[in-house]
Amino acid sequence: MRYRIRDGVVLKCICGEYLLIATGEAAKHCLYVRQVNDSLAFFWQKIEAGLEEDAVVQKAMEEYDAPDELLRKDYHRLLKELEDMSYLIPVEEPTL
Amino acid sequence: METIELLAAGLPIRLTLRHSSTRRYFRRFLLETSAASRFPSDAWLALPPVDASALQQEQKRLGFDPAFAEYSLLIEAFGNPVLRFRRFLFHGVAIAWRGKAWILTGKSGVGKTTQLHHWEALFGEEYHLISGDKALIEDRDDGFWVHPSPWTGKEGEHGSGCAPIGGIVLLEQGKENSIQRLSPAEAVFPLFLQFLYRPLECESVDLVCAYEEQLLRTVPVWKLVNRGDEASAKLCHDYLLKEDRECATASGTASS
Repeated sequence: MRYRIRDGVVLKCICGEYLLIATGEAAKHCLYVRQVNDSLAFFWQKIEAGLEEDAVVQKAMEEYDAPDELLRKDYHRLLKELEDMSYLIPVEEPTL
Repeated sequence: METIELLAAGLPIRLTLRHSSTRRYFRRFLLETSAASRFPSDAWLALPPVDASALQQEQKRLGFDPAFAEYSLLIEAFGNPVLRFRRFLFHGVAIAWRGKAWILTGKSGVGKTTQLHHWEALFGEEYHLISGDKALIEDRDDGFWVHPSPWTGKEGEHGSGCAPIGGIVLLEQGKENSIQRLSPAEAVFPLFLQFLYRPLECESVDLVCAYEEQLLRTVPVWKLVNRGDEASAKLCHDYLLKEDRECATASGTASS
């Protein structure tokens, strides 16, 4: 499953703490503001940069020195969480 | 429609009102014509009239007269554009005490006004009220200054004067009274919720984030967990007094 960030949702950092903020129309679908931890912020920034899963996991392995399998599982869990909170929207895979 | 000119936190403001009776809510801030003329045109914050259908809906929601509905909607109309003038609206009671402004903030219903009433009973001669519910904070080169805004809370308490900010007290309800200093990181989320603006676009969010970053790096924040009793007000007062004296000693300024 691929995802895109809902338009209007932004990640901000204030005094080292991360907030996900829903602006404009996004506020009708998500909580206005939510504090998130460093690891979620890390993954979010990779999603924002448009990285595919393998690249995200590779970056995470460099950052956290954890095994591929564990990080991939965490990443999938996170994507599902963000989808449930309406911050991410699933994108249909193109069919051949 | 009627256009009125105000001065709040040193900012000249031009409002276009759909109901002339709304003017009464701003009477303490009205700017005399002679004073208005000294402000250059680009110094003014001019707000268009509130949307007519939004006004109708607000009036139905509040069940009040249209003037009050318009007054309420103008908070939303004001909260965003004022950000571009190095000022922001902040939810909290603000008092001037020991030469500085101290803000009591927290969720609606947490007990800010109750805490203020206890301060009035115990320490009424030591302070005066700057703002009863929504303070207008100015980002000056020498720090943040707290001013009254035209918008009061449901108690309708107006304040006056202004002062440089001394600290912010975040209120929470609890079974026991306690007070502790919060780190900037600990204060980020609860304080962010007290900025009064609408996240309509990224520019406003960016400005609020920048203000909060600067605020938290320069202004102490404490969390007061309290039972809503007089003892909590005494705890808060005595603790801040000690902190303020220590701060004055450290900076070499006079204290009392």
